[in-house]
Amino acid sequence: MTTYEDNLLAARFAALAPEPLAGNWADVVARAGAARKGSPELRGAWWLRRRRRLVVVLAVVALVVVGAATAIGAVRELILDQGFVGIPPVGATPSSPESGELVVQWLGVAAPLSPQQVGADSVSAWLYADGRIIWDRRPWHPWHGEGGIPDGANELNSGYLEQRLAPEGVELVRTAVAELLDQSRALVEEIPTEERPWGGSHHPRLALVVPDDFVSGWGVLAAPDGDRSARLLWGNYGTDNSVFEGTPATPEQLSALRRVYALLTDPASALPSSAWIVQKVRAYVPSHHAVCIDTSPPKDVSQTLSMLPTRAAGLLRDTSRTSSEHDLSSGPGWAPGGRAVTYCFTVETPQAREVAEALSGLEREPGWDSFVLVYRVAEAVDGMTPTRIWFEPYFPDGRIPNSWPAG
Amino acid sequence: MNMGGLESDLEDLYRRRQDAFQVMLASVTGSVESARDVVQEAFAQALRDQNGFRGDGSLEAWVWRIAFRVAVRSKGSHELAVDEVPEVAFLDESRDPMLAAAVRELPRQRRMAIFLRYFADLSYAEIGEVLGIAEGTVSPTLSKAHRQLSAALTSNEVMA
Repeated sequence: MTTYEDNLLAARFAALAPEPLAGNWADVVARAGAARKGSPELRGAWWLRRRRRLVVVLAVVALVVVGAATAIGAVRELILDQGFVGIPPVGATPSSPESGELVVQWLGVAAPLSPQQVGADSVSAWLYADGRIIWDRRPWHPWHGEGGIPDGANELNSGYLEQRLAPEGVELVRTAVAELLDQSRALVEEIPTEERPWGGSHHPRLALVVPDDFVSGWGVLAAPDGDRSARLLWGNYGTDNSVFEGTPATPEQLSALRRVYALLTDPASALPSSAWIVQKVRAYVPSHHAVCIDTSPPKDVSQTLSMLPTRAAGLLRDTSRTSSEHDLSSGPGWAPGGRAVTYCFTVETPQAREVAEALSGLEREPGWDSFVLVYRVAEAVDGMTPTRIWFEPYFPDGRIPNSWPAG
Repeated sequence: MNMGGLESDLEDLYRRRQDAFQVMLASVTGSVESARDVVQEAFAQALRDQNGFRGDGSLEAWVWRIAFRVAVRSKGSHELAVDEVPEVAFLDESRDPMLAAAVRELPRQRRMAIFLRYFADLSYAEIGEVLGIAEGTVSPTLSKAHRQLSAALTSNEVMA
């Protein structure tokens, strides 16, 4: 057979090859683990079992066991290769180092991933000087593809995922962001570093107006600038004229924004291989969580804690906390009028898990399970909002990302 | 053998090659869905039974052998004997009935060698390991298969 005939045969075989389905390494690991523990009958009849859905809301996620066991009793790393919502499983290895210097944070509307191709996804990303890039993706439409969002927690939410850039990668992103901010200096707002760039007020004219067919229809990024943060918003006129009455973007600004967009929403494609240390996606596992309670009308902390099951209240009572009062219209309840207070208690992950267990008798907040582990503590009174308690991960820069669907 | 390293190698193999595993195994199981399950289970078995890999051959060939055993078992067939080769066939023969007919006429081992070459994209050495034959025997096996296919296709296509 000649090379030509060999190639011809290869092409005919290729035309007959079926389309493979998406794989899932976590499922392999779970099967391996389950069979180690399971009965011989189960092992022998695995193909009769209903396919398991491994993407779950709480911390029941598959583990990938990596690292070498160099001696009996050696501690192995437990790396989660799939996003999760809520508290990570027992033993999951936290992201390291515990703290990190923020380089840029981004929230933007992005083109949907295949196969959806409809609407737009929301992508948030945080890049740290040590190379960690933490991000989440929330599809406009539920992702019903095989296996859900790649590496994601569920069909609506990837969960917070982590990759690690090399210093070269960090510099490429930092340079691209600096270039965009330099080119848009008149539209850049300085905000307090503790303020969420997508929260609070902003001047409606301080926004870059992008064409309707631009890759990102709306977004905001913020980069630390001394003791403040430099914030840039963009949007198209079609989004909301009252908000985005800013300045039409120049071709140079669009080019710079397109570059930053690519780097922060699809770094795997936008960055060379030399810019990576760990391209493989893993779940971001925090060392600490914030356990937050929001109640209206405002109450003091003792009154608020008294609404919780006794054990949960006891676990939180002596921990450090923050509190903030806010209008209901800016809080997670979105009800008009009135005031509310949010207390956030800082706890280590094992303690957060204990609190969650102590709350397990409460009703889960309907509709938000895909995004945040949240319980309803008490029903709304006098036209206010229900009292809720939820869990947020602490990010390396010491802030919480705000996991609410609207956030 | 460093077990942590082997786990990592298995994961790497899975991520690089699970598509090829599915395509090839579908020709044994009869559907992509069942082939996907076979791949998942085969790699899970490999993870569990790492001591079974002695390191004197390629890791991929070892996993292929596990996968074929799992595939045959999933069909409810008898266990594969050590030197037995499973039956393979195209999923949708109607897309190229002449090639399908020609392939059906091949002896089982030649047919398998051809599938491993074109669907699994394996090297001669790996095909030899999977089939349990010497690497030097793979080339003549494939040559005979090629000649037989070529003759059958030429004859059928001229007649058609």
